[in-house]
Amino acid sequence: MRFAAAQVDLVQAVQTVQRAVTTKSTLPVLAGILLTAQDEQLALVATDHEISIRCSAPARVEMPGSIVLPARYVSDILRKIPSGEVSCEVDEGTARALLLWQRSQFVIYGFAAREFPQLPAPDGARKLEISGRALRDLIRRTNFAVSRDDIRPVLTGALLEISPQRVAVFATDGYRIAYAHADGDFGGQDSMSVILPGRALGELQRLLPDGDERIEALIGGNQVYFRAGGVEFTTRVIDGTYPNCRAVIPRDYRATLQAGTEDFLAACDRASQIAREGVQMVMLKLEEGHIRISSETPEIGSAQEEVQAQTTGEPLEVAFSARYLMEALRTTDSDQFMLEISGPGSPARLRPVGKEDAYHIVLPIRLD
Amino acid sequence: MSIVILDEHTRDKIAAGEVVERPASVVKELVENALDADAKRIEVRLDGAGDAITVTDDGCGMSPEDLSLCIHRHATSKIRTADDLALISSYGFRGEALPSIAAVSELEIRTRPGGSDTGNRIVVSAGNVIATGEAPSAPGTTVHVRRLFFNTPVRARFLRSARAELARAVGMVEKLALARPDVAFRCESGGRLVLHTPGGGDYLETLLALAGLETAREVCLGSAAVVGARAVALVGSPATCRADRRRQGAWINSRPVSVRGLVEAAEAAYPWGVLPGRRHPLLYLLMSLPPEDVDVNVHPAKAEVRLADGTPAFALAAAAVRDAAAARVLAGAADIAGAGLRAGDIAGAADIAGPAAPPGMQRRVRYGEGPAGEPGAGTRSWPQPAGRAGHMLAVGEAPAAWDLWATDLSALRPLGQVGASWLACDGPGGLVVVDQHAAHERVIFEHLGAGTTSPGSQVLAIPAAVELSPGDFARWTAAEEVLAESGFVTEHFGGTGVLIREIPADLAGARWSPEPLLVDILAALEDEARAAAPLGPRLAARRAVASCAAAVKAHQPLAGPELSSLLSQLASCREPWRCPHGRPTVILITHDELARRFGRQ
Ligand SMILES: Nc1ncnc2c1ncn2[C@@H]1O[C@H](COP(=O)(O)OP(=O)(O)O)[C@@H](O)[C@H]1O
Ligand SMILES: [Mg+2]
Ligand SMILES: [Zn+2]
Repeated sequence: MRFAAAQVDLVQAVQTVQRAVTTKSTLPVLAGILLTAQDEQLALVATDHEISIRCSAPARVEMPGSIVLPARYVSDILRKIPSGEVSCEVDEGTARALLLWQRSQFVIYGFAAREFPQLPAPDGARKLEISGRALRDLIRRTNFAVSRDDIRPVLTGALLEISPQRVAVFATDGYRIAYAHADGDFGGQDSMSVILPGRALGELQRLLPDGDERIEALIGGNQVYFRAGGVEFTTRVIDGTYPNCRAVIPRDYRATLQAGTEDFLAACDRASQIAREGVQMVMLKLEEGHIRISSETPEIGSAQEEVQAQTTGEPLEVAFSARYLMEALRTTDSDQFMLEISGPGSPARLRPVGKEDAYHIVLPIRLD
Repeated sequence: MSIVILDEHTRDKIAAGEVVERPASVVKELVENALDADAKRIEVRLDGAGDAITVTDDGCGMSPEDLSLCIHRHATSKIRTADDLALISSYGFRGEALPSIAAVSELEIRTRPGGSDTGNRIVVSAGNVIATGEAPSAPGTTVHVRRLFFNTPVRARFLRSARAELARAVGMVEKLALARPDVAFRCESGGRLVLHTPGGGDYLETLLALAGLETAREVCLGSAAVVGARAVALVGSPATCRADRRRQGAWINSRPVSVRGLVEAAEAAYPWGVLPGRRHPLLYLLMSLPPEDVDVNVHPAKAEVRLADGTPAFALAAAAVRDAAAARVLAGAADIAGAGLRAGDIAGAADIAGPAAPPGMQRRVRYGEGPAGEPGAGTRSWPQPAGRAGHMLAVGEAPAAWDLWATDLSALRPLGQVGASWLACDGPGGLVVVDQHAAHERVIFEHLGAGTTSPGSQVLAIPAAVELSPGDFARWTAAEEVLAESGFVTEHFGGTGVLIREIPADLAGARWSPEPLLVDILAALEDEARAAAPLGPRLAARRAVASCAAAVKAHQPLAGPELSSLLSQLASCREPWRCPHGRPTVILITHDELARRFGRQ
């Protein structure tokens, strides 16, 4: 195998796939990137069994072939090479690569390509087309709420509900729930849902183009394949039954408040400075025309904030974790938000005002 | 042991006088008899104005012969000759109580000695035997006193209100229960259960049962010993101070006693500032002294004892209080149980408080005969206090407890984390090392018990279902309620399944899930139950939740602000120095110690 390519193209391609490289696997070959030179292209693939990323760089291929090279060295070296052309000669028998540029030459030991796991071919019964921006936003507004503890595997993922006119996402770690949807024409005929790992969605979010450019997804029983520009991204699907988040939404509320997102967020943030580390509990007290945010820690002090708000219903007083409130507020994407409270021990709903495309369920801290 | 009538010479040696003054003294005599009979469970029932008293025990019982003898004056199974008086280790010895009580009431005794399957009874009214014969009885003895003082109207008139007399009688049971943590006491007054102790031998659990957690957590414990004598002091914080001395007392060789000046001497060593007008803290002195030093034969009711000249008792009492102050071990009895009073020490305290050998003649305790001044062979021996009760440090020799106590934890300058488990800090007295796990445990433990400032419980959006093992499920069933009080709200979910609905807010977070936490807590509860000194279920639950929560937080790399935050949270604890299991949270390596280690001294 022999090829030459521009340093910038190589660096970019390596950086793209590198996120799927893992050093934690018992398979050492997964710490590498599979390089395949063919048809005036260099294809790069990395996988960690959960996700795999594939992209390509333009190259002058003199002799097709493939090899696996350790991601860490390849990426470090390539980044430090002056821009210009790099050529690469591989001895596939010994799995060594010789990198040449200007008057330098490096030898890097790799693995034979056949040791690299075969990636499943793109496959999926259901096709989805969505703009890069819309999918990015859906992920951004929900993915922070997935669980990071894999005791309940389904909660480490987000639920995607896909229908021809709407894509909706739920994420929850069991403590709160984030929901967002996008409407449009997404193709396909039937409705279906799939649980994708939170980490995979995070990587996907990085790779997605931030524009109206449409990306394509193929949803299969155990994997979902995305193609965005020249990048192909595959993720494993999480098996299991996702909790019924809609059932948690209260049917009616005892009080509501509507306030400016920025003001409220800032006040909450300040008040939580006084709250005890770890819990960050703040009290919300609904009063006529405003909301009082307070916190108190005997050994530290106390805080009182008042934020202008339109309130309705009972003058409730409810405690929340400031962290959950703030994480929700940061993704309402709206100047004004609405908080609907159903009692000091029951779920509350937080959502943007003027838009119906997202909400958060936050649960109070019960104090009795 | 059979009953004999003491000879004239011996009778004269015994101080004369009335034994029975009021209901409380009847209770005292009857309970002491039960204790002398080696009872493990004693039940006291008070009715009316205290003129009806029933004491039931599961002790050795009496043979029909002993039963008819016991109501005669100077009939005792406990001593034989005047020589035995010097070595009294039973509560009774005069053979006076039952006849005195019988003379002023209607008395019925039902008893069945161990090994016999028939019981007997005797009924006496105003000293006259009215009935005897076989009668069904559980093993042990029930003494039933009715119409107390019915034939002595003058004495009856000296009594105060029924309420006061009942309270006094209950107070007496309390004193005896405190003296004997190895015996389970129950006391009902007017049909209401007013007192019960578990009887596991754990002194502190007994205190907890009697005084309640709120008081127990304000108490710290210290001890002092010389060869042959030892004092343990339970000392309350200033919060326990009152104008009266009702929560003070002394026990010598398991006997509630009053010794002129003893409690006062101990109180004089009390170091904390006290509000004017509230000058007397809770102060219980439990002393073990050589019987030769203790003259219990002063007063017929034996409440007042005289101590031999030159007794170390006064000095020991003061030293024990000072030790308690230095240790400042207090806090939840949990802490008492752990704090320097691990199993051995508690057993020590219990040991002091209760005869270990079967009561009776064979339990003659002689002191100063053993090797190296240990209590003599054949007698009970005290475990050596583990350093001083509540010692803080293991570094160097004499632990600088006072140095450390004087350290303001919030003023420490954190230097960094050591081995992901400890925090090193620069303190005024030297290098202060904080155990991250123990510190978290303490902080969470106090948060859980903090009442109004409690962090509350985070309601879960998606309740977590856990399938428990049958063992865990049984533990959960027993602990469900106390777990809920600690913020862990759970409910049964079919089979051995449990649904977690709320968890302590301290523990909520995306990083850990409730399920393994519940399983860990149940395992920790099991450990608590197996501990040498098991605690009440509430404390056990708090302790279990705290240790599991701390385990969750342990081995987390802590950066600057988090270091300071842990320190300030620890500093604001009531009892920052120890984890709920009694292990130290903080050690101090003094500048002197450092200098010495580097060979600069
Ligand atoms: N609860 C009891 N169980 C077994 N024996 C008892 C009990 N109460 C009294 N006795 C017997 O009756 C005797 C007389 O009791 P008492 O008049 O209190 O005198 P003392 O306790 O001073 O010996 C005791 O020595 C004991 O042998
Ligand atoms: Mg007696
Ligand atoms: Zn501990």
